[in-house]
Amino acid sequence: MRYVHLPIDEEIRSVGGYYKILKEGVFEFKGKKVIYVLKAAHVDTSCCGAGGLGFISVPGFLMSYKSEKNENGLPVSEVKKILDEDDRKSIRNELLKKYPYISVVDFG
Amino acid sequence: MVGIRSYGGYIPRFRLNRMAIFGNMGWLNPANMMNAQGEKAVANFDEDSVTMAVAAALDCIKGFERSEIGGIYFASTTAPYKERLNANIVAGALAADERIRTADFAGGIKAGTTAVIAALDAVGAGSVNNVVVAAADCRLGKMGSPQELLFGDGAAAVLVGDEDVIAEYKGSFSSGYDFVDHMRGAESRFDRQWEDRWIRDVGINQFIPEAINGLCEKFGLSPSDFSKIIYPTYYGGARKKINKVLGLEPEKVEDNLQVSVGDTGTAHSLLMLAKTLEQANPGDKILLVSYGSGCDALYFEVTENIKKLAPRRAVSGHLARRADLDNYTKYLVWRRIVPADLGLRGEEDKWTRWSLVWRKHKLILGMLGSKCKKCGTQQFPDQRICINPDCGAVDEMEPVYVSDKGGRIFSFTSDMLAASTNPPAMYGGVDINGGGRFVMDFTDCTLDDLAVGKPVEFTFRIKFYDSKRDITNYFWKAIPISEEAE
Amino acid sequence: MAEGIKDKVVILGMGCTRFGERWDASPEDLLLEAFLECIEDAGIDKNDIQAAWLSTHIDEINVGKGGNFLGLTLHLPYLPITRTENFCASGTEAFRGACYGVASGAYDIALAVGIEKLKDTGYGGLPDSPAFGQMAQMIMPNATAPGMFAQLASAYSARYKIPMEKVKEAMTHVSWKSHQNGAKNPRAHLRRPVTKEQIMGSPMIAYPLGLFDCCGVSDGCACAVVTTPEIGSKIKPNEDLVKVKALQVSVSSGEEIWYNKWDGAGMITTRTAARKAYEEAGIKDPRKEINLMEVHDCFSITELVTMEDLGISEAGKAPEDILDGFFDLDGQIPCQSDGGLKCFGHPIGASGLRMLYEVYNQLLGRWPEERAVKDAQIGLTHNLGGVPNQNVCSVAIIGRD
Repeated sequence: MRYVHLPIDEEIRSVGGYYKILKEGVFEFKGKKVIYVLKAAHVDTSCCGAGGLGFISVPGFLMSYKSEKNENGLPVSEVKKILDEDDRKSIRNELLKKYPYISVVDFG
Repeated sequence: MVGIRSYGGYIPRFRLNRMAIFGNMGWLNPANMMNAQGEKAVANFDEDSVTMAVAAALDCIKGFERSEIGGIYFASTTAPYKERLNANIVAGALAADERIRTADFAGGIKAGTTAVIAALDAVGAGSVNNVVVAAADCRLGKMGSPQELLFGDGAAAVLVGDEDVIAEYKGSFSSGYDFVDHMRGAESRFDRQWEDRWIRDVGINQFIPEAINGLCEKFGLSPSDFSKIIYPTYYGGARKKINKVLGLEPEKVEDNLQVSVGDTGTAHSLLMLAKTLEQANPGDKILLVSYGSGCDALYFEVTENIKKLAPRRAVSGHLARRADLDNYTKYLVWRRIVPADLGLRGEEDKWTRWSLVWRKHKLILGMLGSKCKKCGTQQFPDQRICINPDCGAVDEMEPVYVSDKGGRIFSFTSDMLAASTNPPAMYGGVDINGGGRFVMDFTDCTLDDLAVGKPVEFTFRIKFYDSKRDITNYFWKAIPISEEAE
Repeated sequence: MAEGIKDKVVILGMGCTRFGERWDASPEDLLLEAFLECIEDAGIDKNDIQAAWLSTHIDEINVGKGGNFLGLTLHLPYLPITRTENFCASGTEAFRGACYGVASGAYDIALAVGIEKLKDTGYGGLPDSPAFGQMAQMIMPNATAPGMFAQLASAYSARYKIPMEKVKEAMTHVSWKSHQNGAKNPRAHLRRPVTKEQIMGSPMIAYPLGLFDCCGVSDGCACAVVTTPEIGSKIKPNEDLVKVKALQVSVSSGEEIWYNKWDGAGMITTRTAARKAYEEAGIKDPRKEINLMEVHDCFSITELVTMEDLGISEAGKAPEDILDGFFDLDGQIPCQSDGGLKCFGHPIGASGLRMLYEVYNQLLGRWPEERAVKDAQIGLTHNLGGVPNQNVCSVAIIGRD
C-alpha cells in the first residue's frame, strides 16, 4: 500500500476546523518498523460542537521509505497495513505510553 | 419473624490505586505512604450516593415485587440534597409505590445501621413491612489528606420484612457519643479529623468493645458464640487489639474491605454484612457493629431461607467488575475538587423546571413506559397514542416500568465533541427488550465494549449537574454487558 | 384531490451573501447584502412586495423572535411578515410560505428571506439550547449532530453489508467533490480544494465521521422574490423565469426514535417528501429527469443516504454511484455545484434559500464556464433538519420549461 507523506506543521482546513501533522515517527516492533503520524485537530467552527483532540494514525509496517513521489510531488512510502488485532493492541499501548491522552490511535 | 429478607451491594467500577494518589500528593504529606496500599473504589463521573444507593437497592430487591415495598430508608452523610428527601429519589428509581414511608438518615456514619434498626423496629411493631434500607457514601478528603486515601465509595442495601427472612433479627445495643473524631460542618465538603491515636485509643478501642459486650450481656452470650463478627475500622492496630481483648478469632472477623474498596462511611458495615451473607449458612449467628458518633450492634441468626435466595452481585460480583482509573486528576474533576475549564459552552444555563419534572417524575426517575392494551406494543417513553402505526389507539395504555428490562444496542457512536467530563461521550439507539426504542447514554464502558446487537442493562445515573443552582438531575443510562450475563 | 402548486409560481429574483465568519457584518448588513441583489435581479421596488416570510433557526443571539427584524431593517410598509422555524428546513419553509401566498392568490409578489448570524456566541458550533424541548434535556443524551448522524453510517454498513471501508471511501469522495466545487465559488465559506489523502488523514470526530465529513456554521443570508407567471412575464422575458414545480415537507412521526422498525440506514422523511414532490412535479424517473441537485450534506453520510432516499441511486448502490463520479460537476447529476453546506457554509436559516439560489442561477446559465452545469432544466433542493431519528425534511423542485 502507498502512504503519501503530507507536509509537517501545515494547517489542513475543513469548514469545521483544521488539523496539523506534528511529527512522523518510526519504531521497532517484532523486528519490523512501524510508521506512525502524530496529529492534532482543533474543531472550532463545526456545526454542532467545538473541541479538539490529539490523534495518531498508523499507516502500517514500513516496507520502503520515501521511495517515490506522487503527482503532487509529495514523497510516497510503501507500507503494509497492520491487520492483526493483537499487534494493533500492543502498538496502540506502546504509543499511548509515549503520548498520553491521545484520543484515537487509528490503523486506517 | 422479623429480619432481613434480602441484601445487595454496590461498588463502583473504577478503582484508583492509592499509590497513584500518593504519587501525585506524597510530596506534600510523605507520611501518607503508610496509607498508600491497595486501591479505593471511586464513583464514576455520573455517580453519587443516591445513584449508588439505587444500584445496591436494585441488587437487593432482585426477584421481589416492587409493589410490596412498604418503606425506603436512605442513609448517607454525602446526600446530594439537604432539603428534598433523597429517599424519595431512590424510591422513584425503584418505581416503588409513592404511598409508603420514606426517610433519610444522616449525621454520623453509624446512620446506616440506625436506619436498619428503625426498619426492623417498624416492621416488628407492624406499622410497615418490606422496608428497603440503602446506605451509600462518597466522602471526600482534601488533596493530600489521609482521608483521601482511606475513604472509598460504595453502597449496600437490605430488605427488612417479616416473611421468608434469611436472617432473623434478635436484638440490638446502641450508644451515641458526641465524640468528634471526624466532622464536616454544614458548609463543608471535606472531612476533618482529630489525632489518629486519640481516635483509635479513646474511640474505636472503647466504643466497639462496649457495643459488643453490651449486646452479649443483653442476650447472655459471649463473643465466641457468633460465627461472624462484623465491625469497621481501617486501623490495623485497633483491629488486633479489639480481637485480642474480646477473644475474637481473626477468621471469624469479617474483612474490612480496606485494601479493595476503602471506608464507605454509612454503607460500610452493611457492605461487610452483604459479603458475610454471600457465604452464610443456616444457623450462623452474626454480630453486626457500626462505628461513628457512637455504635450500633445488631444480632442476627441466619435461617434456612438463605438457600432459596437467588445469588446477587453484592460485594464479590462488584469487586470482580472493575476497571483501573488511570488518572488522579480525573478523580479530582469528577468530584469537583478542582475547577476544570468546560469552555464557554459549558457555562450556558441548564434549567431544571420543577413543575415539569413533577409531571414526568415517573418517567425520569422510574423509566416509565407504556403497553398498548389494544395491540400489546410496549413503548418508551410512555405514550398516549400508540406508536404502532397500524394501531394508533388513544389512551388505551397501561404503565410499564422498563428500567429492569435491559435491551440491545441498535446504533452507537463515540463523540469527541459532546460536552462531557468523561469524553468521548458514548451514546446510541437501544431497542428495549419487549418493545420500545430510545437514544441513551452508555456508561461504565469503552468504545470497544459497544457493538450493534450487544445486550445492555440500565443503570440510574446523574444526567446533569447545575452548578449554579446546586441541582443534581438523574436519569437512566445503558451499560453493555456480556451475552452470558444477560 | 389536491393538485399542488406546479407552475403556479415563478421566481422573479434571488440574492445571497458571501457565507462565512462575517465578523464584519451585523444581521442587518447581511440582510441588505442579499436583499439589494435580490430586488435588483427581480426588477422591482421594495414597495411592490405585499407579504414576507422570514426564516431563522436560533433567534436568541441572532435577530430575535417574530417577523419584526425584517420589517424594521428594510422599513417595509406594515406588511404581513411571518417568521418560519423548522430546523435546517427553515429557509425552504420561508420560500414555501411565499409561494403558497402567491399560488393562493392572496398576494401578487412575496418575499422569502433566510438569515443566520451565529458567530457572536463566543464558541464554535451552534449555541446550546433545548432544541427538542425541556423534557429532552432531562432524559436524552447530550448528543451532538455528528454523533447522531454518525450512527447512520454504522446502520447503513450493516443494512447493506457494505464494509465500512467502502462507505468511508464514498464519504471521502463526497467531501472531496464539495471542496473541488467550493474552491471555484467566490461566495463560498471555504475556498480550498483538498486531496483525498488529507481527508482520509483527518481525525475521527464521531465514529466513523471524520473532520472533513462535517459541515460548519457560518453567517449568511439569502432571499427570493416570487410572483405568478403572468406578472413575472410582464416584468421579465419568460426565459429568465424559473418555475416552482414542487414543494414538499415531511416531519418524523416518532416511529424512528421510539418504534422498533426503522432500519436507521436512511431517512423515512426524505423518502416521503421526495415521493410526493415527484408526484407534484410530474417526475416519473428522477435519475433521468433531474439535472442537478443541492442536498443537505451536513455530514458526508447524509449526502450518501440521501442519494438513495431521493430515489436517484438504488438501495445500497449510492457508494458505487458516488465513486463513479455520477454526482461530480461533470457527472450525470451534479450535486453541490456550489460547494454545498461543507464549503459554501451553513447559516441554518439561510441554507434552504442558498440552495435554491444556486439551482436558480445554474438553470438560468449565469455561472462562469468552470463551474456551470450545462443545459440544466430541472433542479432539486433538499434540506434535512434535526437528527436522523427525529427530523424535518424539505424537497423543492424548480425548473425551466
